Amino acid sequence: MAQPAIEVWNLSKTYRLYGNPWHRVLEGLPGAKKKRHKAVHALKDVNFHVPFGTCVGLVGGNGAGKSTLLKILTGTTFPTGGGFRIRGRIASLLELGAGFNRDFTGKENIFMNAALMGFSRREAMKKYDEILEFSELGDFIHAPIRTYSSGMVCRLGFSVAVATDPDVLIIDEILAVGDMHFRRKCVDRIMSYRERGKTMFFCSHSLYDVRQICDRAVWMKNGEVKMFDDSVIVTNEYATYENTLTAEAEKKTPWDDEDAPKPIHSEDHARVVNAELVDPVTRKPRNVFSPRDDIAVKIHVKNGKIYEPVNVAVALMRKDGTMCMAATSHFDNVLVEAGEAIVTLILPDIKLLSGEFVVPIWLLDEKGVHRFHELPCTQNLVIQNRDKELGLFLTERRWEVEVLEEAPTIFDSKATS
Amino acid sequence: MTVSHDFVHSYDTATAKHGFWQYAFQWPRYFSQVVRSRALFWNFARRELLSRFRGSAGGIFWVLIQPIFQFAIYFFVFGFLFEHRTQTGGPSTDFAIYLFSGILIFNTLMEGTTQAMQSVVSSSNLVKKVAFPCELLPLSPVIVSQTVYLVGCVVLLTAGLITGDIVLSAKILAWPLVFLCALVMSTGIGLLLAATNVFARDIAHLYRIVAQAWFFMTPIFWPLDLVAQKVTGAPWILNIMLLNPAYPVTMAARQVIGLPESIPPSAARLVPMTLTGNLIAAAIWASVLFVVGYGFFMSRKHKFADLV
Repeated sequence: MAQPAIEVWNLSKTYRLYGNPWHRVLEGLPGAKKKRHKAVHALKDVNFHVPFGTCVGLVGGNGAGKSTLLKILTGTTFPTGGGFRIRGRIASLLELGAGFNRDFTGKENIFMNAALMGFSRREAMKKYDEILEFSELGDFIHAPIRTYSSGMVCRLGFSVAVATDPDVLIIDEILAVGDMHFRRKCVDRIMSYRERGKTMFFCSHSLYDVRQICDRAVWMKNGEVKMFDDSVIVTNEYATYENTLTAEAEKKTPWDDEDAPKPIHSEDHARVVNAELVDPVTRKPRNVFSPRDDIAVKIHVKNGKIYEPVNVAVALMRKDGTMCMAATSHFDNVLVEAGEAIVTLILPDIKLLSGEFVVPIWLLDEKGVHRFHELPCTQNLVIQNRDKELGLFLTERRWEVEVLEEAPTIFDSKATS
Repeated sequence: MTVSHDFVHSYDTATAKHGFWQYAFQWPRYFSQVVRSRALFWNFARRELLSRFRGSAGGIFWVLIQPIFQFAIYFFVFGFLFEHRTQTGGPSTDFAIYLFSGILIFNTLMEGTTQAMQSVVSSSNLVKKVAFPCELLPLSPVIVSQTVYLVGCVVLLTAGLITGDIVLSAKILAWPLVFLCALVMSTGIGLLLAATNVFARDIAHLYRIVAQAWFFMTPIFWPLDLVAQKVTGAPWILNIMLLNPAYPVTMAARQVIGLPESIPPSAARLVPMTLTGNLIAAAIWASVLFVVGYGFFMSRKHKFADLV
């Protein structure tokens, strides 16, 4: 097997926080025993391998350790445990225009940055025209950077950074810069690296970008690798987790919601003994499915002292409280007339896309007005999609293209963009 | 925005060492690093020099105008107002030249090291975001102050030759050695201070106080024989004063332009007073300070990004 481009083993980083600058001095004195710092674990035992030619996305919340990991791989900061190995020339774009001096002209800053990247003056001269052309700054290149708009600074920064031709490219959150036109140029450039089989390590808050650009993704959580898998699977899982977090932050659970039916359960009336998600074929408990799978919900219903025929309602609710689907038996003209029964709802060819859904069950009276009891399924429904479909649900589709004007004979998308 | 030219870039905490001695013994690597990163180094130095005069109409000419006026003031104050009298009697300009030559070299050391001390901390944005040989940072302010010193020397020589206080001899050929000693010494002190400043910013304030004491401890506006005559009973005081890193280089800077440096032969002392002796002493100080500064800087370098 070929050697990986990036190897990371047991990588840890602990920062020491001192309450007071004196504490650092006191702790550094020879013979000092007392610990005066608070240890902050930014990275805890991170392990992964990135094969050559792979584009890896890095996702995770704030403070998950993404930036620390990128800084360590770049070589600006050093780990306190474990190690890493990167094979090939590295270029990293941690911050656009990091080395810029505002009082100097764009041209002077280009040479300064090229030198920082390790280029000789001759190499920098060769790259200069390419950088200037890519940045589209024109005559502004001879003006001090302090006269630039922030977009222009970003353009210059990106142009300098991509002028190098690395084997491994490490990119932090930088694609959200510039206007639409320039952003597209940046993405095109990054995609061309990908096509030429370069290894990329790419951090972004845009899950869409990660899914589109990357083959694989790392999900960092609290300084640990929570998941390292196909980028589609990781971004889906991460999006689900984010939705859950949002729901928790808003303290909103589907059955606390004011709009949701209130239980009016008493021993006298019908109740749900148990409800679970099952495989429609084996009828064994199963809660993880893919889009277009058949799903079954098995509901054990028991009538109370006062017998009444009941209707059953089942909903799929995303964790942030959005009701995505509801099935009620009285709409489908099914009435449960039994002292005790097992009711199974089969949802063939489920159209939902990736996410985690709570499945609450309601028992209603014959007319579907009074609610006797409600209970969520023992497990939440988890849908995982392994393709690049986006959104909440899948739908049939058809495209029609009506040509109003013939394409120009020599068609160059870049020239007309 | 960094390109590593090494094909394999790796780090393992288990095998990494950050010992002082390990780096101190690798001091020749500093020179090879400067040569390898010369494009970066020139950019730093150029930026340092230009940023001092950016936006001023006079521009780089201030480098020349400043020492001319400095000398003119000394000349006026000590040559005419105070009528400093030499041993021969009459009012003379030799004290102005003596003072100017001392201040020139001492200020070069002070300015270079003070700016170098701030070099890593003030480039925090670079140190945090870009992987580059940051041991080059303290070198550029030192180079700039040495360049300013060059211009000052031209002014000093011109003035001294006009007043007749400077008599050129073959000794002037040793001047590049004085320059080199001052350069290496400032770089060493600069590396040491820059690394210390990252961990304790107090050093900046401390150094300002030390620099003042240092200025008066160095024979800049008092001639050494004045002290030598005072302490004939206790020669160790003289020896301690001579154990001053700035002393031999200041003396040598005067001796190469033929300024007389008299000291009673009776005064017992450790350091020889000849130009050769001073040059050897200056070279030893410069080497020791450089190796210590480099060793300390490099052994602490891996922590900079987290602390600046």
